[in-house]
Amino acid sequence: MLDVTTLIARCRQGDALAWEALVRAYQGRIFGLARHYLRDPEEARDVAQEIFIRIYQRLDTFQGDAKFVPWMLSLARNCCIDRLRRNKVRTPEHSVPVEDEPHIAAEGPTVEDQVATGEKHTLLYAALENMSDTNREIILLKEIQGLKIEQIATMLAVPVGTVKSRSNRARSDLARRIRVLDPSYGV
Amino acid sequence: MFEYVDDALDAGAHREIERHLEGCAACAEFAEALRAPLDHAEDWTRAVLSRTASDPCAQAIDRLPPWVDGDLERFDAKLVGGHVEHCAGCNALAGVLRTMREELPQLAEIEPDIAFVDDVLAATVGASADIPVEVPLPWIARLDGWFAKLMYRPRIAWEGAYVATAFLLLLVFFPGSPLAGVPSKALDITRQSPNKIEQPFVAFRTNLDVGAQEAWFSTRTAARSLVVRASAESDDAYRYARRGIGTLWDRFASDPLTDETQATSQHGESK
Repeated sequence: MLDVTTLIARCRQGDALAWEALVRAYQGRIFGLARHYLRDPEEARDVAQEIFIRIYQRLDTFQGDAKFVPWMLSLARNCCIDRLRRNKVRTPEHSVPVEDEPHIAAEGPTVEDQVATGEKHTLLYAALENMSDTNREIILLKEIQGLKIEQIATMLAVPVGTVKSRSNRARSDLARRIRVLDPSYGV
Repeated sequence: MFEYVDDALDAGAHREIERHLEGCAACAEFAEALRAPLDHAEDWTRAVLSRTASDPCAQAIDRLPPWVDGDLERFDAKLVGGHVEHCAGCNALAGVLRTMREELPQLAEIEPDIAFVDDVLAATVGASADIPVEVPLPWIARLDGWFAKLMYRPRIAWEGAYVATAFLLLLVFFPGSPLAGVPSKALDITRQSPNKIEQPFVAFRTNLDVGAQEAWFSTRTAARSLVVRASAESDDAYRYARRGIGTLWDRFASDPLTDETQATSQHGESK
């Protein structure tokens, strides 16, 4: 993969090839995050496109000394949460109460996605399904997307210690659920 | 308990403990463990722990994730390691955590369809180059959400009409408001007759006519006075005055003359 700093600098200069390379480099990650937040694959695709448009518009605001991936994932998370809240506002007939924390899709990717990523992931998605939204989001950001605790603390606006304790509890919770589904996992 | 197990108690104390053991499962288990041979040390340890301290597994599970990551302090790491070595359940859980750590990152990327990149490029680079695609700004998206939420309220039309009426009343009809006199003034304007509007203009024209006439008469009077004086002095003076007034002489001469000016003109022509 090309150097991200150079790619971003070229994008700011209006280099369309650099922008295309950046999109191709991170499309999987952005779409994966959107799929974890939203139920509908089409809506996740729409949100993923909106995320890249926002990244394109805000490239000038990205501070070069910061890491690009956390900045990008933070922006992506905000887009997903905005879409989740908008969906709740626009469907009042369902009388969905607006929660303080957004509901992250319990259902994982479709069957086709699962085949593409391997059946071993089916167990992980099944275990993630019944977790609480808070624990699932921590797993998504830390264990799946690989963000550091300090970065997650900034993103969620909570103390670092809170993120640490939540992360430990979430991992233990997920491990217990996996053991219930498949006692032979990890042996 | 130890004396009981060793049959070192008197009969009364022995019976009392037996009665207690019949109703207390934990103590009964403890007594059984004490009677067990030393090769069942693991069960004995568990029995002691269950009778004394809180569940060590719960505390071990809390520390398993950082222990698996190698982030625990050395002393705590040894404690957890010692527990995991003898606890099958926590040992298995540690194995799950290690495998999770390897497999969860593989869920990060899900490739979208092949047209995704083209669509993104069309909406970004393509939009700024040739195709005027409207990209909604974040504040517009927020405004859209707020407006959609507002429009879903069924009373919005009534509320809007109520607010607009109250505002109009306060602005125009409330005593002391800045536009309080506007309706009555507007009514007066529409009721004004054409004569009132034309009056100032007619007066101006009249004043103009009167002013012009007065100027004419005063100029003519002055000119005729000059002619009379000139005629009284000499013939040369009369001719000089007539020449000085110039073309105006004909105009004065063509006007209806008074007796004085008529006599003057006859005198001048005869000379």
